[in-house]
Amino acid sequence: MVDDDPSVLKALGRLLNSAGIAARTFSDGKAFLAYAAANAVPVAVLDICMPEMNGLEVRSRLREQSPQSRIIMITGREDLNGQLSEIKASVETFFTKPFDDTEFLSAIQTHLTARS
Amino acid sequence: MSWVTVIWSMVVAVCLTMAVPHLVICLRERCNRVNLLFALAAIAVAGIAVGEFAMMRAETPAQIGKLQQLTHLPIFVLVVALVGFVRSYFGIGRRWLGYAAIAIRLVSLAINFAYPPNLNFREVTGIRHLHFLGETVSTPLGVISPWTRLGELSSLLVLVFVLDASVTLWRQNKPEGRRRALVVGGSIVVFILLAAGVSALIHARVLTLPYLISFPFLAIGMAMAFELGYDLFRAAQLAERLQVSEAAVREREARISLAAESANLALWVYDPQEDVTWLSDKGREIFGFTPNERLSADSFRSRIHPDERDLVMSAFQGAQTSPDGFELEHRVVRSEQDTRWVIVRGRSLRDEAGKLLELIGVTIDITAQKKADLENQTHRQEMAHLSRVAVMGEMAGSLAHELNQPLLAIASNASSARRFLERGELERGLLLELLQDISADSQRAGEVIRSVRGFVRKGDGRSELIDLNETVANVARLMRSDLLMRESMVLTELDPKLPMIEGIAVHIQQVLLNLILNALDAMQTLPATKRRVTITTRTVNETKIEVSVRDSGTGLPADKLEKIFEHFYSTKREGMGMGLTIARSIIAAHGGMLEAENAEGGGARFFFRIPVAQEKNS
Repeated sequence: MVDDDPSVLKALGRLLNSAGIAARTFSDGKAFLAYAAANAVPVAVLDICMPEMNGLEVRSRLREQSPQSRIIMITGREDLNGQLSEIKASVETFFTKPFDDTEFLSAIQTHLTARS
Repeated sequence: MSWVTVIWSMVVAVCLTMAVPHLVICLRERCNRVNLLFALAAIAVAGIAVGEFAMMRAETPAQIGKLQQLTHLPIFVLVVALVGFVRSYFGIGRRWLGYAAIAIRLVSLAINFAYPPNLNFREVTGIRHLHFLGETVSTPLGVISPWTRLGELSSLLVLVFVLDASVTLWRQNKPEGRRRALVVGGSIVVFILLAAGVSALIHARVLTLPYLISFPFLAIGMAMAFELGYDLFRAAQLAERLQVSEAAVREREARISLAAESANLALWVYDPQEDVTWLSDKGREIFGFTPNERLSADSFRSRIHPDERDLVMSAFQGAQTSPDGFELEHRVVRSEQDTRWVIVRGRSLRDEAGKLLELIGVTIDITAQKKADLENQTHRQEMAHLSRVAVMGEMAGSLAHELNQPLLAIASNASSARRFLERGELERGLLLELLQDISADSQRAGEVIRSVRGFVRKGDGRSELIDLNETVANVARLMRSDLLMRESMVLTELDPKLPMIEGIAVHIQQVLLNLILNALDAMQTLPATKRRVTITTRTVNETKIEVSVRDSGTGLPADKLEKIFEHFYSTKREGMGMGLTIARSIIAAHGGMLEAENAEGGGARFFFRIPVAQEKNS
């Protein structure tokens, strides 16, 4: 899970834990990609709006690095205009904050099951 | 009637006629010594003439001796008057000579009365009858007294005194002085010589004539009267000229009043000693005083709005003790429904010694201007508000993001708690942590809403002290996600010693937001790594600070540098073209100017300078 907002990151990490899913959190893309280079990442949750390296950039790098990883994109912005449909079309799953926790968790579960 | 009677009574009449106007002048105006002395001299000559006439008609030696004795009284008065007149009228003359002449004449007078029959005769033995002007007149016969020389000495001294004074006056070489010396001085000298000479010849029995002293003295009187009359004529001329210039002054005064009135300007003069004020008609109209009301400091006090009363009164007090003038704005309350705004300017008027004479000044009715200002201000605030709402619209995405973050955190934390609880894994410590985070994120969401509301709300536009560094930081925070979205960077270079300014914080925020949003728009076509906005604050000098927002875009077309501030001018497709116009008017309302230029090294730079707050910043 990658999000630059510490309170969001902490809350989402907890949410996954509460559903019995082991989650690792990263506050920026670089640290995450470094981890992903050495470890298997079954499902990645990426925030789009982040400084230095945004979610879309992280996603394309991750795809190169580990094509088998499933990716969920999240964003707090609803006004991504043209970009939004493009992103939606290109990623497996997309959530706009604030989202329904059950839907979010079940999407993760689905990805995890699909992978295994 | 005989010639003697006719001539002597005419002499008396002429003398008295000459005396009267000068006596009147003396009585009616502040007593002028010259006029009084002249009148005295003329009356004395009349007295002498009466004496001479009575002597000519005397029938016994005792009678004629007594009459001659009495005639010395007006002679004494004449000497005193002549000496005094010359001294006063010429403004020069040796005092001691004059006093000596008077003193000797006084001694002569004493001897005249102490040793009868009189000064000139030790003894009058008889009467000589003479044929004079076709009739018989009496003259005294007897032994001439040696004291008679004393009288002649006195006359001689008068002569010398007048001669000396006349010569001195002549040498001063002023046309008027020369005329006086010649006419008055000359005639006195000639006619005294004549009078004294004739008397001496009569006493020496060379001439067998009655005393004719009054004739030469009449001539002297006429010379004096001529001069004084000339003075009167000149005074009349002067008065006429004064009247002309007074009329000119009055006309100029009227012109000033007219100019003052058409400029809504009231003139006033306040005399603190008498506690009385002169106020022009316009001023009475402004203050609502009736045309003839007497105006004291209290009259004004009662009309000044209570909020400014102390301020105005202390300014008036201050102007009385200090040479500095004052200027202030205050309201005039004419009635409950009728309040006017005025500016009053005043200063003290002092004499050469620095003593306070009066306060003078003008009061200007600025009610109409004030109303227009107020309307403009309301208008400006409304425009600013509209523009703020528009800015908020532009930033809606960013604001939503700011709000969505804590909302997501809250929702997630709450559902985690539920799930942990369902699984029976909710420890007390974790629950507390979750609740704490939920409440912190609620706070955070609340703050975002508050800042939006504060920004969009129609403020009452109250001024406050603002730390612009803080404002810049706030604005940068508000725009955080916009910056991320646009992949742009904001750099701040803040002057750590920046003084405070006085203004409306939300308005300044609005200007900064506007400028930053413009800067971001200008860089859309640049590669992400080159999109940089630099916000700088700096102290220009003790009275001004500068804030600038610079982008790294392509800059502004040189011919459009001013045009961008015009209404409805926009280079953006969605833009209304109001933002910069309103930003400029906001900065102008803060006493500054918003300007644009192309920065060195590329990009546009918008900057404004505003005055530092008046109070000392702590």
